[in-house]
Amino acid sequence: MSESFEYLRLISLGQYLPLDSIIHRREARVKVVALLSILMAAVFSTHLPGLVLALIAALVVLRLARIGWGYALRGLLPSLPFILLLMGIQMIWVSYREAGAWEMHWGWLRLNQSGVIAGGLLGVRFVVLLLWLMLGSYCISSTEMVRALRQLLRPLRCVGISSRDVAMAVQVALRFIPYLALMLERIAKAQASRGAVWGTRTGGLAARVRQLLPLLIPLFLLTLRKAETLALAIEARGYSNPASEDSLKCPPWTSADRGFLGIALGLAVAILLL
Amino acid sequence: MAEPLIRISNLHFQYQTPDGKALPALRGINLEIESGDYVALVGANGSGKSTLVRHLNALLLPDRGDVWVDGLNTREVTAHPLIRQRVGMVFQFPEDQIVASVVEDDVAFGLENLGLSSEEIRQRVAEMLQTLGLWEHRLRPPHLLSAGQIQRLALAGVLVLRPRCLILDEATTMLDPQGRLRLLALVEALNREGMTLIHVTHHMEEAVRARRVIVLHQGEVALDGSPAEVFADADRIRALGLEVPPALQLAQQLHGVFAGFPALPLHPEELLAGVPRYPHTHPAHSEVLNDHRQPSPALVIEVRDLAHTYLQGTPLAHIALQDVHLQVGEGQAVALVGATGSGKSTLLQHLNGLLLPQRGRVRVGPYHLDALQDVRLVRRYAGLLMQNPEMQFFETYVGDEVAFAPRLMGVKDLRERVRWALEMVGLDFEAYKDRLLFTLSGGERRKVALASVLAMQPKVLLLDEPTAGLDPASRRELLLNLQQFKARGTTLVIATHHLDDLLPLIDGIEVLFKGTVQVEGTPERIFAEGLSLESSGLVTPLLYRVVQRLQQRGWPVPWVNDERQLVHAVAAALRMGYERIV
Repeated sequence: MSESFEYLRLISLGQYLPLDSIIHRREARVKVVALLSILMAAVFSTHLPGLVLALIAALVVLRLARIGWGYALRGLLPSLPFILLLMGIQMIWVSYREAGAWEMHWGWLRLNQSGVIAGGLLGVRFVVLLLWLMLGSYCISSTEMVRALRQLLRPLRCVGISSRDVAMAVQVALRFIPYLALMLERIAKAQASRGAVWGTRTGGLAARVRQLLPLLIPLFLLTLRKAETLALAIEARGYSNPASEDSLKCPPWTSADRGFLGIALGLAVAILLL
Repeated sequence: MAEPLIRISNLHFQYQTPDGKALPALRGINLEIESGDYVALVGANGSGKSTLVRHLNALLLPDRGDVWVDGLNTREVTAHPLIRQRVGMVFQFPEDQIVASVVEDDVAFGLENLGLSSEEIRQRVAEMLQTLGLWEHRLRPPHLLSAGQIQRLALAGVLVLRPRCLILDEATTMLDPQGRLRLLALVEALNREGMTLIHVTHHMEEAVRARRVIVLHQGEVALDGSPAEVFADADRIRALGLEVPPALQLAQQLHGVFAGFPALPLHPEELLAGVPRYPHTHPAHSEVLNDHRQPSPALVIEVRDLAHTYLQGTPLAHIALQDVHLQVGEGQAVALVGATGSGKSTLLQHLNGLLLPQRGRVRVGPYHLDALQDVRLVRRYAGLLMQNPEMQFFETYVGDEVAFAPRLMGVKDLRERVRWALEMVGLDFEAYKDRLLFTLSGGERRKVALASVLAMQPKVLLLDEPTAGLDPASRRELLLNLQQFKARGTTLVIATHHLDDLLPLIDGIEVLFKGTVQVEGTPERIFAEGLSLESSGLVTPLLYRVVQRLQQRGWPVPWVNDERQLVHAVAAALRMGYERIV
């Protein structure tokens, strides 16, 4: 029927959900290290069982974090076409390069077992990575992320990189994601109010890109203006003060945190070795 | 004598335009602000107010001249942390000032920069959140807060640093009237405890609350003194693009008719307290309470059982509207009022099909939104001017911007249509069509935005906070424009916090509260019956408070909609009294 302007709905990635769950309560560094090790394991895992384990673990953790599966899976939808495309390319590519147990031909197209396995692995791997990334954004607030980064990157100080500035840049980038969606919504609404049509999927790719341009230019300008005000506000609240860097919450690790980290690292090893 | 908190000497500052020209913003400002003072800084859009206050905490540095804060020159970069700790600042758009993605972390941001201990930070953040009523929201993401809450969050992040001087740069713009009063009461209490307060505002009724008013005009200090001194010369004030405070304006007119009214009240309370008793024996009220209700015109807008939930089906879902009913007759002007977050904008966006009913029915003119083939038709029929429309311009030149909609509609004589739309809002086509949008003043931009909606020649005009952020002169002109459209038969639906500005225009008021229409009726009915509207964020307009007081003191005056009518009514009441004596 008509277009929906709720872009915020589409970006479940990058959205923190302030829930109170056994996952959310974990200390920031624990969550970040756990997430990173599982992501790394999923990247380097070469066999399906490990990836399936990572997938199941993601679903379990979603449940523990009190986040509906439906909500998380909807967040995957926008990336699905890309994943399928990459899977297809991978299947064909590997089929040409490697021999497989069986083989099929349609004209010039060739598909064999190792191609299908490689493509399938790639697809599962992407889904797993995306799910864990989304989990990270749901359960780690940007402030926690920044705080953890600041503490974890502190050793970089000896090579002259300020962990605080790096962390601040990440924080601002993260904070802008939902605002970009809201701004896009307002601009699209303003243009739609004046006769522009969104999301009707008419015309070819070029026409649709051309349709997007008038949306992106004001978004870009508005973002610049907002960034400028934000920079002023950050300055006005004394960011450039070179004083020490204490923070709101610096709780000691509890036994639950240690246990959680242990399980996460164990899981990462299992994903890698299975 | 003690050093003033802030000393500005011969301050000059100019902006560089993209084409390399220099745009002078401040021209030789000399000012001293004493510690503990309460200063209102007023001036037309573009007079240099924001530029000036940004010099006070070293966000901008002078091209020429000096600014000292507590004896520290802002040119000393090493002094900036100290200066910014002493002078806190809250800007107009609160959402642009939020750094963190959780409320309590954002309040802690400045304290972390000071390098305080975790224990002290935790304690001060908790205190601040409780003072500002944000404690329950401490774990929420800021972008999902209401406008009032996010404004208080921005304030909390600054106040938690315990600055010696607080600058509010049009920081009340996005709040409803009750919210503004609450915010001002809060910072005024801090001012009484010794904090210096500098309030940049377009609202003279807010400016008179200060002890000192400074008027800027084209980058120079035009007037400086107590509110009574500054507003004494009404003509000068108008020439500077401002207006005298509403209480004073009304009182002067009433004083002209009957000398018993106070001549120079600055605050509404002074005017109300000074309303004299009716000097004659009074006739019964019922004789004069004229019920000028006209036969109802045909309905243009009909809304029934409308409900809307944002982000439905996600953990962030929230109900914006439920069971809303609304009827607007042809050629009428209806105001949607209510606290921030009560659903005004959501309702408005249903009336031009930006949002489609999730439940219930919406009819706008001949279009039923629940069974509509082409939603563009209703968007042309009901043109919407969004909040802060100048932030959504998509073109570079005024003419192109106004032509955007008619071009998409396939209007044949585009040029004529653009000319017509610009002239409707009082802008000369030849002079404006090739001007760059970003070089326009705030009032001009709002007019261009209005013209670009009018260019569709809509039968219904939907306006979301049309007067927000405009200086008094621009507000007056906008009201005149809207009155003209109404006279031509355009139906108006206006969501607004500033009912006072638009009262002469309004036929009906719909008060929204938490997503439902709580009260509806003519302005007279709503305010005459003294319905309790505080929960809706409303403040009874001054005009009605005066009418009410007049009636209490025996004056036979009816409920009226604008100042002129009230002055006539008071004059008539006096004549009536004399005639009786004769």
